[in-house]
Amino acid sequence: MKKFREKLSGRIFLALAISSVAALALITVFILVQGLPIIKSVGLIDFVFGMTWAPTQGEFGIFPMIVGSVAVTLGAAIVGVPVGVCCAIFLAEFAPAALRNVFRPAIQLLAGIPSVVYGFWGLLFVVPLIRDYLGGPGLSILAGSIILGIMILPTIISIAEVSLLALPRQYKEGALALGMTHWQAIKSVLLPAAKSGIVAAVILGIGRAIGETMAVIMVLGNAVALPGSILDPVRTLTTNIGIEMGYAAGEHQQALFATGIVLFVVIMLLNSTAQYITRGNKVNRGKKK
Amino acid sequence: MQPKMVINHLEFYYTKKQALFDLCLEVPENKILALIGPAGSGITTALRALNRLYELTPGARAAGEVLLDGKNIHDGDVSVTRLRRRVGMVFDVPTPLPMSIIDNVTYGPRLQGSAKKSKKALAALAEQALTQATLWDEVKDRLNTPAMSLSGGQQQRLCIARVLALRPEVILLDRPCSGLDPISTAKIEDSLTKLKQEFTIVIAPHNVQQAGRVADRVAFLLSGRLIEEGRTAEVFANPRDERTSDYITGRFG
Amino acid sequence: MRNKNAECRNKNAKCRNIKFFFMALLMLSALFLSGCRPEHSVVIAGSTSVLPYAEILAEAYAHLHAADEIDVQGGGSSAGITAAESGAADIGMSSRSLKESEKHLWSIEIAKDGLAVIVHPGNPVADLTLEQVRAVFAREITSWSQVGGADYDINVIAREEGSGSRSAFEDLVMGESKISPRAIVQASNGAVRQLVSGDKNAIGFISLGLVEEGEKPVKALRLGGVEAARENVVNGTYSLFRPFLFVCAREPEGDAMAFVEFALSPEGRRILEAEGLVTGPSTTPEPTTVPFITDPNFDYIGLFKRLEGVWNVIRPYADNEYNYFFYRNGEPNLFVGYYESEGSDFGTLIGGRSKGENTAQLIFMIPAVSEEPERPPGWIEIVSVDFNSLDSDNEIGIQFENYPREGENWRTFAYAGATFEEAWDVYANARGYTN
Repeated sequence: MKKFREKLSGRIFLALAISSVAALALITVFILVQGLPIIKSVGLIDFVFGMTWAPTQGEFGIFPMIVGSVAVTLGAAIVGVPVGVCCAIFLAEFAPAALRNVFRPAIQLLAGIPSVVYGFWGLLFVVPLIRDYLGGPGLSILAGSIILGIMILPTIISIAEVSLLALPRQYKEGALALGMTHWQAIKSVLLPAAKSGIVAAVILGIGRAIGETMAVIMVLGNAVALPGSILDPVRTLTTNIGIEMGYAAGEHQQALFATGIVLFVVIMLLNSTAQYITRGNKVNRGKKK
Repeated sequence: MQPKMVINHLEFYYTKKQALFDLCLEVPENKILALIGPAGSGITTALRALNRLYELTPGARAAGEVLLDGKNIHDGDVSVTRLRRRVGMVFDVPTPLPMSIIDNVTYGPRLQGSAKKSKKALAALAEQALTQATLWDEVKDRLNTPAMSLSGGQQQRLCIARVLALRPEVILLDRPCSGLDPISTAKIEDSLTKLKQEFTIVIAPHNVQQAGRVADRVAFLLSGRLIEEGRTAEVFANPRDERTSDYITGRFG
Repeated sequence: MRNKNAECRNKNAKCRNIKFFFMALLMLSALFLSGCRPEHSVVIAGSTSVLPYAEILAEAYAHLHAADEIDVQGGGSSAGITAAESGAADIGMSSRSLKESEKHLWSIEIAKDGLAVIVHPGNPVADLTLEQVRAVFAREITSWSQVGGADYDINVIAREEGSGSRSAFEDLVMGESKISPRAIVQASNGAVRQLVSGDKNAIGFISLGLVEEGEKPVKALRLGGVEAARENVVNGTYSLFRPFLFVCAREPEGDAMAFVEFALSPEGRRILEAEGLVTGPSTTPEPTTVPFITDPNFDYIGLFKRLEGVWNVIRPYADNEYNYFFYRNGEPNLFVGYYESEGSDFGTLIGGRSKGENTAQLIFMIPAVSEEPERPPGWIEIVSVDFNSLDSDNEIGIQFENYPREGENWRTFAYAGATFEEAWDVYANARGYTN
């Protein structure tokens, strides 16, 4: 009886694991089936690099949206990475226990805020600030970057902090015993040693930023043209799908699925890069006797 | 002759728990002093009290004096980073920095603000330190390879070289040969014997026999208290306290 | 001892299996139940312009039919039409007329709505020509200074491509030009309005009825001097208006039809008009007092007898009839006759006089059929009656209580005129009754 139960639980777990992979496969196949025809008919180069997105006139060029995604994500990285990494260093190295117990839950909370709330806050708070003090309509790449930068902070901070804390204690002791100050020890020993973990954190944060839709759909302005400055409104690949899916039909809908394919490829690339970097880290760490 | 370092009535606390009770010890210059005793006796604590490395641990507190060349290292005007360059430490686990071999060795001197030191001077310094650590012959052809690629024993000797490159006055070693094969251990013990001519050495060996092999003087600590101290041969042959002989003969440990 | 242990173990296993089954059953049933919809429910989706009005209609409807659930969602006109066609929604809302490819669907116009071009209240510009508006939205004009304002960049705000408002705007204003791709796109009227209310340099277009709805004010531009107001839509001087449609895959039935009919009913239309829309072929005048017949020698009894005569004429057309007199001081005061005929015909014959002033008010109600929105010339529409007032010294008759019954749609008209004969003539001719 026991043996049977063991086998059964093993089989159940296998079934559940297969179902998650099956879900992924289903989504992938669905997107491919829906989106490939339009890529074939428009042509991959024309689709990815076409400058005009006007589905009602049969124009399906997503380049403005690619530029939008890249610009907003880059901006988010510029906002989020320095703050996140510094915060992780602060939490791992400088903060007294009492402060850490305040900061960590606060950062977890930040991660728990729904993205639509971020968008709402951005619309009511960040956008008017930009509009009044920097010019332009306020709905802009800058607004999206700020919102996304804040959104990816928890991801970056928690993973970077863990990588720092995972370092053997002796790294820091060895550095300090050499007469380094605390900051010198961090800069020259701890950070380089935790580099792969921090890079992985950054890449995961960027991956999240690229995929974010709800938070930015409210603050980006959704103009379909190439932006001229960070104060210009812009549309990303994700917000394009979000806005138009409700009423898209026929070729238009296929084009949106094709946009999904592009996003899929980009995020897969990012994830593989993150995995490769962290794997490379393990190889170098071994001590040979 | 003036002892290099003096511990005067040192009481040490980890938050509420007291680890050292009224420790009084002299560290003679240019000699090897071994601190022996069972685990938990406060040996590592005493060692770290000598270069104030305990300050890394939250809640660790010291009362009493530790003098280096007559000056209390806890004085307000003592720079702890400078102290740690004068009193270097080698740990039980090799801690090479994630850089090349030559960079590991020259890192300390470079940090000292000797940017004026030319590349040649640094290279010479590195060679000297590596030679003194009996590692030079093995690495002189691959100074630019990552330090991580060395074997355990080699890494440990690299750590010694690293400390030596700073030209310290005192070298502290906390179970430096734990986990190393006998050949590496012998090499290190050999280099220590040569090094004491130039430096003062305090070692916490991971077994008593190592103290017997290298130390000039031994101090036996038990549960945070100094039980006995003296020349190695004497303490081993004629221990004054019964507990000392029990420990040395292995009746407890 | 060993046997007892074996028993316990088996029992535990059985317990566990039973628990497992129970849990699985619970979860499965939750799964199935979650797909169920309540008995009477209508899902309405589509234009964000129509949405607030549909919601108000739904609320009023809910007061009358508490068992029904009306679920109103947005998504834009195109999304609504698509949803209606696919069956995802029972009724789709659209703020533009149907395209060629959509003409096979069933639709009905419930109101007309103006499109207002709005700017921030602090913007000095208050008046633009249609051509200027077109140029602004095509970004041929990019600075407010080119149209009489300050030297700031114009922030153009448009709706998304599937929006009925946008389609209507493109048809009515843009013509051959296209709205610039650099325009900011927002997904609802509310979002556009909110943006414009906060940005001094923004311009956008929203449903006329929504100009006043919101925390912060916006200013509707005059187009070529014409104020963006409901009256101007009605009298035709304000050219930007579009139909509000209810769209279904085929003619609706049951609860959906009931809601559509409610929207078209007098009550529904009153609600829509109160919110700023334009319903009906042309304006509905306010119900006013029907002038009394003030001749003190008027032959009321004869009138009543004649009413009775009329009643006899109509009677053959009626299936059911109810009639009664209200008496006051022994004299017939009010004659009320109801009749119903097949389908949704429903009529009331009322004649009456008030006690105090020796005046009488003649009201003649005609039946209305749901497809017959036409009103005979000279007749005004009455929307409610208050029978309680009949016993007081007040004027009779203007307030009629509405009894909209399920499946019925009736409207009441009164003839504000002098004689009963005239009224009857007009009516009988219109309805083809022979005397």
